[in-house]
This record gives sequence, structure tokens and C-alpha cells, in this order.
Amino acid sequence: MENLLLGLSTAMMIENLIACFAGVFLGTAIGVIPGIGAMAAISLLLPLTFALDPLTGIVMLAGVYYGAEYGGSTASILLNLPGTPSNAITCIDGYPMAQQGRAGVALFVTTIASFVGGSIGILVLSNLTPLIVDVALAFGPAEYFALIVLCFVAVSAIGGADPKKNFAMILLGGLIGTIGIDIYDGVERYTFGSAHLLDGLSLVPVAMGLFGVSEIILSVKTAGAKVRQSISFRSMIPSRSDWRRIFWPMLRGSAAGCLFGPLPGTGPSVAALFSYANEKKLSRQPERFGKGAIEGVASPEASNNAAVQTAFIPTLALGIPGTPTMAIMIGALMIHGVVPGPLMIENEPRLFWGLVASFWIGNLLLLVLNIPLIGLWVSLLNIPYRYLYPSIVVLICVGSYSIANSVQDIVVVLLFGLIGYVLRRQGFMPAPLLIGFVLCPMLEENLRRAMLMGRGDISYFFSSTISVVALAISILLLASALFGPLLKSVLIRRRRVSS
Amino acid sequence: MTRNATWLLLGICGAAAFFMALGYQAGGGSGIDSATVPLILSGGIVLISLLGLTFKQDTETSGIELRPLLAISAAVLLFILSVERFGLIPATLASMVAAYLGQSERRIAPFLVYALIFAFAVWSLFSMGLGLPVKAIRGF
Repeated sequence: MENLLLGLSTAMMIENLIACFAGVFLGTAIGVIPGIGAMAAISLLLPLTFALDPLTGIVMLAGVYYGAEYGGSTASILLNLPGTPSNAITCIDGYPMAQQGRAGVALFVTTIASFVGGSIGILVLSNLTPLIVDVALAFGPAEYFALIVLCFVAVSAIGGADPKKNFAMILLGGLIGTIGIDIYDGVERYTFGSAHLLDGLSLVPVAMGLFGVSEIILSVKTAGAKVRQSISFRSMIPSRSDWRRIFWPMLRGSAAGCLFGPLPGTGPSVAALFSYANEKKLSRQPERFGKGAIEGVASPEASNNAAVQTAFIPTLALGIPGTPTMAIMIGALMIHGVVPGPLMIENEPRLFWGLVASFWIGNLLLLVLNIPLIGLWVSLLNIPYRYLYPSIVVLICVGSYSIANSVQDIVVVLLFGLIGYVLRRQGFMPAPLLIGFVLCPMLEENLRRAMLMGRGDISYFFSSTISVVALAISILLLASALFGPLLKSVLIRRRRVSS
Repeated sequence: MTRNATWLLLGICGAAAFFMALGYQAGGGSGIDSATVPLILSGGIVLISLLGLTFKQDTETSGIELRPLLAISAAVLLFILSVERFGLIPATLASMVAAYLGQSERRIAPFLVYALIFAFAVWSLFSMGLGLPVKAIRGF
């Protein structure tokens, strides 16, 4: 309670309130634009926080994150164009609702469900994180190494369609993360004699290229989509039967979000997908799903927003991001001179609890702002995209130039934009690449420290229960992800031959 | 570019990185040196590329769309080449026009007016507001 009061007093400071408002507003505005997700929004706005105090900057970025997750649902419902992957689930019933003239109700329910899910997620975050921190304070390099390996494997195995591709992306990202001078031995790695590469590549231009530029190249073709209905306040109010239908799905969705949010490799997308499938399974009329069932909007939206908040648990408690967006948040914290992990909460309670309290305020702002502003977001969708995307390209360029007042960072943006685009077209996801890029230096550091502490004995990694369990789960997940499909195809072939 | 070509390219990059990493061995303590992690990662890329080439899984792939790719690349490139030579406003204008050409609509006059207003807004926000040390137009 004392901690929460400390957090509230910090979050209520005028500069933090303004930052929270700006983050939520800008995040929602960018999230509404089809094709531009939370990761692109955060990378785009990250340079704007450089001039701010660390807490104020992070409060703003967190606001951008959940604002963008909320905003993405608007384009999903009105245009059938999801702003973020987790919003793709909202399209399934949200767009049919809009076609039936119930777009206002769908948008209202999205706002309420986001608020409920977000609030429950914050409750779990504020109660669970300190408990994890107590355990994490006893973690050594072996435990951290094992947890990072588990995160890599979970992201590869659960995070997308083809685990091989995800794992290849993590390794590639890790390899890119080794560029620069090795701080232990002073050896230059993959610098090709360039002075610019001695410090390695910065996270912001890499993320801006992978998620900003590549998303814009992909979304240019959506330039013609337009909203065909106007939304009045009266048309947004759900009926009594709507309220009855959404009450339990919202709570179940929030619970699923709280469960999946902190798990590495899952995050809001998997949480939303699970909640939708669960509601369909529990429904007495599953045939309504996909044709405008209001529960199909409420549950994934609550789940998605609960997962957004609880994804901060491993990020803040352990310093290990489970999702690419959290990887960018960790990078942002580090740029501001804050190293996330158990010591951050011990040494800087003002920052941690201030951030948690700002989540409450941001969530409330989302509710208060977005119901009256739905009309504004709808009108934003009517601005021709052919005007919007060139502006975003310029903002990406100026934003990356402002990092070090150097055009070399924009060259990195272009290079990673092209890499991201080609990879996506070939079915490779850039998200695991970013996770590898951020986590690999941490993995290498902990591997070296563990080997030094264990005097070169590899059994040191199996000296604690946590690391043994994490490594065992990693091996099982990796084996099932890589060899499961191969085994299946061999069995099918054998069956065909024998028949 | 076919899926096989992507795996092949990835494998070649991994192999090149592996051979480069062999030169980073500095003999650090406890068997871990500057080469260890790059060797593991690049070796892993080669192995997984071989797996990818051998066992194919059905995932959705699509071709490269040249027009938006070239337009957005040109937009970023123009910004790189012109921001320090000509200033922020000309760089913004050139970049926006190049990006605009990535789609099929051709009403350039109203777009130019919008781009000019946007360029001034960007200069006001970043140069005047956030102190970015770049002139609006070089020479002025």
C-alpha cells in the first residue's frame, strides 16, 4: 500500500500526467492507422522521449503501447484491417458487427473490455512482481542463462507458424547483436573496419527498420480503404442483453490475458486467440461466432489488454522481455540509463511503482478519452493513407537521425527495413530477430560469468533447480518444435507406403 | 525469391559469419572467448538452414512488390542524401514525394501543399521544439 501511494504521488506529477496523456493519445492515433502496430508506434516515438526524465519517458512509451493496442481494434472493426496481430482476432466478429450497423456498440465494448482487462492485468502485475523479485534476487548467472535460453526456445516454438524460421531469426538477431567490440577481450567482431560499428548497432534504428519501414512497404497497397458509416454516441450504447453477454467473457478473457502475458513467446496475440477459442467452445450457440457475436469482441480485447500489462512482469522483475515489444521497452529503459531487473525495484521503487500507478492512470485515460473521441479516430481513418504513409516515413527518418545526429543510423533503418520486408514476404517473422538482438548480449554475459564462477565446469549450469527446470523445458520444447513436424511427416509417408 | 533461395542465402551468411568468427579466438578464461557465442550462433544458422532446405513446411510466402519497395527505399535514401546537404525541409519534401509515388493515385499538386505544411511542422517540432541541430534550408 505504501509503495502504491509512492507510485501514485510520482505518477500524479504534472509532467508524468502529461506524458501519460500524450503517450495514450499518440499511441491510439498511430494504432488506428492500419498496418502500423504497437512496435512501430513505440519505435517511432522513442526518440521523442530522449529529452525526458527516465520515468516520464517510460510512462509515455507504456501509454503508447497500450494506446496502440487499443487503437488497433478501431481499424479491425471498421475496415477489417487489424492494426496489431492481436487485433486480428477482433476482426472476426467486430467487422461483421460493423456490417450489421453495430460498429458503435463494438467500439464501445472494445473500450470497456480493454479497461477491464487492463485493470485486472495491473492488479496482477502490482501483486505478483514483488513476489517474483524476492525469488529473482537469489538468481545467479546460471539461472539467468537458463531463463534466456527458455525465452529463446519459447519464442521459436510458440511464437509463429514455423519454429525453424523463428529459431533461425533468433540466431540471426543474436549474431547481429554481437557486432562491435567485445567488452571482455577487446576483440572487434563483424565491424568490417567501420568506426560506426565499434559500439554495435543501436536498438532504435534496427526496430524502426524491421517494424516501421517494412510495415509501410507492406501496407502501401491498403491506401484505398475507407470507413462507410458515421458513429454517434447513442449508437454506441450496448443493450441490456449485450451487457449480460459480455460480462463473463470479459472476466474470462482477462484471466487468460494474465496467464499468457508473462509467458515468453506468447503475449497479447496468443492470449487473444486462446480467449476467442475458449468463448466459442463455452458458448451455447457457437454458430454465432464469426457472424458478429459480441462476446467474440469483448473476450479477446480484455485478454489482449490484460496480457499487455502482465507482459511487464518478467520485463521489470527479471529484465527478460518475453515479447518483441517488451524488448523495445527494455532497450528504452537502458537508453534512459535504467537497467531493468530485481535490483531496479529494490533500488528505484519510485520508478517501478510510479510506472505501475501510471498504468492505472493511462487505463483510465483510455476509457475517458476514447469514448468521446471515437468519432475523431473514425475521421482519422478517413484521411487518405497515401498522405499518411509518406509522413510516417519522414518521421522514421527524422527520429532515427535525432538519436546521434548522424545519417548512419538512417542507413541502418533502410537496411533493416529491406531485410524485414524480404523476410516477411518469405514467411519469416522479424519479431524473434529483435528478441535475439536484445537478449543475446545478456545471454553471452551470463554465460561468461557462469563459466567463470563454475571455473569452466559445465555442470555449474545444473547446480540449481531453477536452471535445471528451465533448461529441461527448453530442450523438450525445442525437440518437439523442430522434430515433431518431421516425425509426423515421416509417419504419414510410412502409412501411405504401407497402405 | 523462392523459399529455398532464402534458406540458402541465410546458410551462406551463417557460414561466412562462422569463418569470420574463427579469427576472433583470444583465449579468454574458462574456455569462453570472443569467438564462442558467434561460433555457436552462426553454426546454428548453418544447421537450421540445412534443415530448412531439407524439410519444407507449408507456410505462406509471397513475392516482392517492387513499386512500394523502390519508392520507400528511394524516400529513405533521398532523406539520407539531402538532410545534411540541403536541410530538413528540402529533405522532407523530397522524401515524401518519393514515398507518394509508391501508390497508383496521381494527384500530386494537393499532396505537394500537404508535404510543404508537414515539412514545416516537422522542422518546428524537431529543430525548434526538441533542439535537433539541423537547418530548415541550408544557406538560409
